[in-house]
Amino acid sequence: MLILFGSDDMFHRLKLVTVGIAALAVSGVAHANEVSAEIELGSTVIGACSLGSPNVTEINLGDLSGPDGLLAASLKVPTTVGTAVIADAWCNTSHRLTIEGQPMTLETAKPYAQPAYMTRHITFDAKLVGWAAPVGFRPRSGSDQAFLEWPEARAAPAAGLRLDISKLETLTAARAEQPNLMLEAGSYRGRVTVTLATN
Amino acid sequence: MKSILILGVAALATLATPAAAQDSASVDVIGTAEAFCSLPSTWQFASSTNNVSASQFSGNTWTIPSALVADSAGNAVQSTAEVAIRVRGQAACNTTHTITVTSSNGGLAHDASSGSPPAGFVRMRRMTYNANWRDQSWGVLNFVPSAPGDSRTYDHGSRVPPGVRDFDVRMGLLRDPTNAPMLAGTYTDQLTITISVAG
Repeated sequence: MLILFGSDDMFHRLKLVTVGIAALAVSGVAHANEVSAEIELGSTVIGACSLGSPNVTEINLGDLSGPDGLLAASLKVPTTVGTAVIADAWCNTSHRLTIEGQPMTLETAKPYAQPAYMTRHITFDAKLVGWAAPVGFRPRSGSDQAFLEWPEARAAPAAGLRLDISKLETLTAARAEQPNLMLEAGSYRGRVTVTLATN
Repeated sequence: MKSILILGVAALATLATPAAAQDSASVDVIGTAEAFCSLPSTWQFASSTNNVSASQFSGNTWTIPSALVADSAGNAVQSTAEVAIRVRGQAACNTTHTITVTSSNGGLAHDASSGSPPAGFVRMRRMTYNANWRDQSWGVLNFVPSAPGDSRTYDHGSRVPPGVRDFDVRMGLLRDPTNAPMLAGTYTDQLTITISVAG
């Protein structure tokens, strides 16, 4: 007997088939010592991906500026300065892991254009650790992204996917990296979005 | 047996329901750039009128030659030709701010006679002060204090922040006509420049 899983519709059909087989078995009692019948069941598990909620929705880097009003040197280093963990990440088939987002941007609108000697945008390294290989990018324009294609099912280790933030740098109005730009005063906010999608 | 198979399929369907072909999670990266302004701790000679030289400025003190204030007979020099010097230092500001200039004596004042000046003598010469970011047409301009402790404030408002930029202070001696001789002794004023960021 081959058993596969099937949809409800399929089982309605199977029910009829099974009844028919049972009737044959009853009528065969007087004519054979052994009878057999096969029942085949079928089903499909749809390809799916899942991401849990991050342990934090905001990575707060605090005061971004140093004593001279420029980006603090302690935030420009390759060392991780902020982390979030996304638990329960998995895909049950081949898939793509994408990381994308926007640079940290001054939240307050100003009545003048960004001066050439100052910045309203800060890029950073955003790196995901815990999948088949680290995936990272530096958001500048808002349309930057990186992705990893993986040919089979995969789940993150128990701790989850870790998002590491490091290596901040100031951006010009044209979103080119340029050090030693003074930060305009105010609150800054960037965003990193992680997506798992089946292929 | 059929029921058991049907239950088995239903269980699988339940497990697969929460996941989708695609799932996303976002984390914001936030921080703050503190409002920041600085003024130079030392100043350098930048320019002057013809009758003033760089050597007259040392440390944070401008020593005006006595001949430019009074003649050998003790009479005040009367001239429309201003005696002025401009000093400069690097400063910075990343936000809206105010610039305040305060004159401790309200002009160039005779030190020893502040409490009980004798009648029939001149013990004060007017001064005019500018305090502004280099090459900017705004700031405290042509401030002529008239009493000890006089001050003037300029509100930067919503102008573009100066960033890292030279800050200029111009001090000018006004040699108005007088009808009395000047008291002998030392004449001084102390100028205090203050930059305050918006609360």
